[in-house]
Parts: sequence; structure tokens; C-alpha cells
Amino acid sequence: MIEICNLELSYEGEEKIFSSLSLKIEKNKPVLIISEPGCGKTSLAKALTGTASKFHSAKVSGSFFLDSLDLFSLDVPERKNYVARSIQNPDEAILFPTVENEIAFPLEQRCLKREEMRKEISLLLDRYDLLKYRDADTAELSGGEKRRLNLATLDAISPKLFIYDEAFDELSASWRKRLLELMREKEYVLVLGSHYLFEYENFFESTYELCDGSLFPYEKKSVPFVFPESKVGLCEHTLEISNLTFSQSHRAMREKKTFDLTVPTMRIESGRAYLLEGENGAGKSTLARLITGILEKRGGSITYDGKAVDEKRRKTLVSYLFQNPFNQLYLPRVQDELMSVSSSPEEAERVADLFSLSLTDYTEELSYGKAKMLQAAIYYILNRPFAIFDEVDSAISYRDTMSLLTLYLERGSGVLMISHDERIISSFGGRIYHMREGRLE
Amino acid sequence: MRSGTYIYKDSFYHRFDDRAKLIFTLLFSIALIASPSFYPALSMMLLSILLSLFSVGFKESLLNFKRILLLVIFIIIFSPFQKRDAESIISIGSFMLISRDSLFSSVMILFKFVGISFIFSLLLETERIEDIVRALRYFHISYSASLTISMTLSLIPALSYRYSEIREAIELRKGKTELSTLFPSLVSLIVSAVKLIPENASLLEERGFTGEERPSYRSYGMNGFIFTQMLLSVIIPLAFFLWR
Repeated sequence: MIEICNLELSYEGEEKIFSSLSLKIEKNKPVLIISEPGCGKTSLAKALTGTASKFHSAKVSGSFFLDSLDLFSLDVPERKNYVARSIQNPDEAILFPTVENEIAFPLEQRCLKREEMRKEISLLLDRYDLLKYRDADTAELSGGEKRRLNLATLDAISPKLFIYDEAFDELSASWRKRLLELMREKEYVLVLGSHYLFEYENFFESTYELCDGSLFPYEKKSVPFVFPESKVGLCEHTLEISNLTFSQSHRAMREKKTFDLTVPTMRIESGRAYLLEGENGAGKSTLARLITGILEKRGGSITYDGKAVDEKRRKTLVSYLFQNPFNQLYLPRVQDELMSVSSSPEEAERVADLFSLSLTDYTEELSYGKAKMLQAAIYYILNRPFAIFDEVDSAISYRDTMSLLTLYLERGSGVLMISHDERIISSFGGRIYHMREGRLE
Repeated sequence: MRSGTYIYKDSFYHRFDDRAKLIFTLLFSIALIASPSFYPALSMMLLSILLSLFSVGFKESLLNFKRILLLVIFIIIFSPFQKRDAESIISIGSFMLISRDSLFSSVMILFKFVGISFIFSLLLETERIEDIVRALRYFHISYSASLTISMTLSLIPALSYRYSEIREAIELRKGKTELSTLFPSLVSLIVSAVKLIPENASLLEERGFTGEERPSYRSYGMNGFIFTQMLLSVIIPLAFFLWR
């Protein structure tokens, strides 16, 4: 049994994140911890793997035992035989430029024989449906594929306790189910998440809520999940896409398979919400980048209120909230980020309140969820007729997702939401677009 | 995140053994740096450009050139002012603008800079990082040193990717990239790079890295032409080195 007793954690010069956190994880009885962004889920994972104290100057105390083995007495590389985590930000989790190399590294550290390593690499690539990307550049993978690579790497470490930090984010619905199946095969499982997913039902032995540094039994909210209504009547502007085509290929791959994207027709009206769903790597983010003008289309047309608009103009019409929020933040503090687009300090302050942000926080120190909120706040101030939320629901609560959407819709923006969340998809009131292997349906 | 610059192609240089290619790249660079004469340096630069054109094509070669263009411009602008006491070629009144020696030295710097940039870019575009590591380990470079080299090599394109993401974010936010945003984007890039140090160290240890020697999952198969390739890798740079 895994036993965590009176865990305390504080970063240099900051208040305690946990005061006396205790938790038991029994063999084959997976545990789920839910909390709002910035409550310390990732810090908990880092404290257990030993990296919080070693690399992030955190003060950690308490006890952490696997049966009678004191895990806190082990250094990080030794401890990884017993506990390892998946990293929340899949971009940060990648160390090597090739998919195969990324998985091979932990196997090399386990000193496996060459033949065993090769077998294991193929097995893990197959398990996470990455065989076709074996020699691909890791930077060219989609968000979901990067997540799967991170999960394959975690399996390659092969610890006793698997900590999944927001591991379901970016995964498609079918992959979320598959991940749960794979979790059944692990001895000890701890899942950290920002919201209770539809797929979690009847899987976890115990579920807790992390709040104010302590764990409480999680009470499922009885309030029905209500999706905000589209603001019908605010339709002032229209973005229309017809016969859009685009193609690209992985430059490092032996098999030169070109990814082709086709959008026969698509219409986004301001003041309305739309949803785009599809498997990982189907081309959702690529479509978002094409609409925003980051990528150049090969053929077809994109019009704004009936007039063709080029890439440069589209960049000012469409707010695109990247899947990885940190790729869009570049100023030191929250205040600097908001002031870079605000007309006055008062406006920045008001929006910070609206999005539950603290102006004095440093952007690099924000949690993944808080970074998403800041990203949304920046584009909220810019007040553009259209917005694309690329998996904004990952790492933030349902309540926050809905409040973001409501705020944008109330301003009259047309919002295209990219999501894999079954709960959001099933209760969505607006038009749903499906992306299937590069084709919009 | 890491990013490679490898481009899958089936060129002669792609098929060249990674160990021989590593030797060739190093000796070629040394020979080019040491070359004091105009024609050998010019030939070596042209050879590196030709190799690039045949191996990765015109588009990628042009991209390689664009990446170093800014530095090339600096060399062209500033180098001619170096040697003030030599024979004048262009002067305004009594002020000597360009001397024969300074023109020669700036052309030589240019040849060397372009040649070395192309030959190193070519190494990274025709060999996967893990193959470069395998070659380094074959030459008994320690595991930790090989790993450090591989991580550094993949960090450069990753930072360049991060920089382009920042510029993209600025353009999406402001509608254009102004010169005034150059400083914050560079600061952000430096912060990201600094932040990577503890993050990567942490990730390496979390995956079991201790610094001790570890077996590699990659090995060398039979290569009947390795001797010939090694010989070529030594003879060609040596010939240039001796050509004075």
C-alpha cells in the first residue's frame, strides 16, 4: 500500500501549499484528486517524485511509504522505480527530437538488453498507436499525439505508482476510454484532474477534492451541466469558408505520407457558439491555424461579411487561444500581459478580476489552468468578432470553461470551441462540426 | 520541447556513414578555418553549398542561407574597416574606405563562415540526432557528454521554434510585429531557455538518468564501405588543407 502522511510543501518565500495532506492508495484501487487550477496538483506530483525539493527549491516534509519502504529517503533517479508522473504540459515533457528516442531513453536507464529495448519500444508505440510516427520529429506531432508519447514514456519508466497529471487532456474520447483500460493494468494509480470527466464514472475507488491544501471526499455536484445559449440576435459578422484545402508532411519521416485537409464549407457567425470535435491528429488545430491566418491555405476561400480576407487581416479578426497557453505568453507578469492590450490600468484590473487572475503573478510561474485563463483574458480585451478556443477546457474546471464561453458570447464574439470532452459535446447547444482524418463534416 | 532538423531523403550524403560524416564535418571545418588562400577557401565553400543542394535541395539550402544572412551582412559591412594601414582600393578624399587587405580578409571570413555553417547544417539535416550520438559514443565520447551534445543540438531548433511562436503570438495580438516588441520577445526567449535548465535536469532524473554509462538501443550493422568512407572523409579535407 502507498501511504502519504502529513505532507507539507511550501516554495521559497511563499505560503504552504499543503499543510497536512494524507492519502492512502491501495493496490489496484485507483485514486482521483480533483481541484481548481493553481491548487497544487502538479506540486503534489513533483513532491512525490522528489523533484519539487531538488529542482524547484521547495520545502517538503511528511512521510511517503510504499509498504515499508521510505520513498522520501530515495533520490529522484532511484525513486522513479517506485513513482513517476506524466507531465501536464506535453511540450515540456519532451526531451528528444525523435519519437523512438523519447521512449528509448528510460529503457536505456533501466539497462535493458538491446533486443529487449527494441521489443519494448515497438510494444509501447503500438500500445499508444504511434508506430507510424516512430521516426517522426516530436515537434511535428499534434497535442494529443504528444500526450500519448508522454504516456508511452511513463510506461517505459515502469514505476509502481503512476501519477497521471491531467493526462486525459488533449486526448480524444476514444483515447480517454483506452487510457482508463490501460490504467487497470497498473498496480497503483493516482489521477490528478481539474474536472470530473464523464469517462471517470465507476472507475475510481476513491475520489478527493484538493482544496486549501487538504484533501476532502469529493461530492459529485448535483447541479445539471448547462451549456450557455448562443446569443442569437447578435449576428453582425460572418466568417465563411468554402473548399479550403491544405497539405503538409512530416519532414523527418521515412514514409512521406502527406496530411491533406479539406473543408468543403463552414460558417461562423458572431454571437454564436460552435464546436469542433475529432480524433487526435485529425487536423483540428491545423484548421484553427488556417482560419486565423497563421498557416497559408493551398486553395479555397475565406470571406468576412462576404469579402475575401487575407491571412494578415484574419489575424486581427480571429482570436486564437493556442492549445498550449504558454506559447502565447511572453511578458513577465500578468499585469504586463494585460496592459499590452488594455487601454487603461483600470480595464486590466477589471478583466483580471473577471478571469480570477492576480496582476502581480509572474506568467512563467502560473499553473497551466491559470495560464489558460490569462490567455483568454488577453483576447477578451481585444474583443474580436471571432474566437477559437483550442481545448480551452483542459486544465480548467467546467465552471470556468462555461464562464469563459459566456463572457465571449455576451460580447458578441462567434466562438469555435475545439474539445474532446464528451460532457461538453453531449450538452452542446450550438452547431457541431466533425473533423475526420482531415475532412470537415 | 525538442526539435530536430533532420530531413528524410535518399541522397548520397544521407547514405554516407554517420561516423565518417562526423569525421568529415570536423576535418572539413578545421581545414576551412586554417585555409589562408583564396581559391581553396572558395572551393570548400562551394563544395559545402553543392553538397547541400544535392542532399536537401534548393529550398532547404536557401533556408539555410537565409538563417545566416544577417550575420553575412554584418561581415560584409564591418570587415572592410579592419585594416587601416594597407593599400587603399576605395577612399573618399583622404579617408580610406576599403583597403586591399581588409577586402581580402572579409571575403575569407565570409567563405569560412558560409562554408562551416552549411557543412554543420548539412550534418544535422542528413543525420538524426540519435545517430550523431551513436557515432560520438563509437568514438568513446562519454555517455553524459554525448547526451549533452545531443540535447544542445536539439535545443537550438527548439528555441528557434519557441521564438517563432512568440513572434506569432505578438502578431496575433497586435496585428503586426513591431520593432519595439523585439526586446520583450528576446527576454521571453532567454527566460524560457533558462527555465529549461532545471526542467530538463528534473525530467532526466525522473527518467532514471544518473550520469553513469548506459547501453544504447541503437547499434551499427555491417557496413562494407566504412573503410572507404572514412578514407574519403580524411583525404578530402586533407587535400584542401595541403592546398596553399
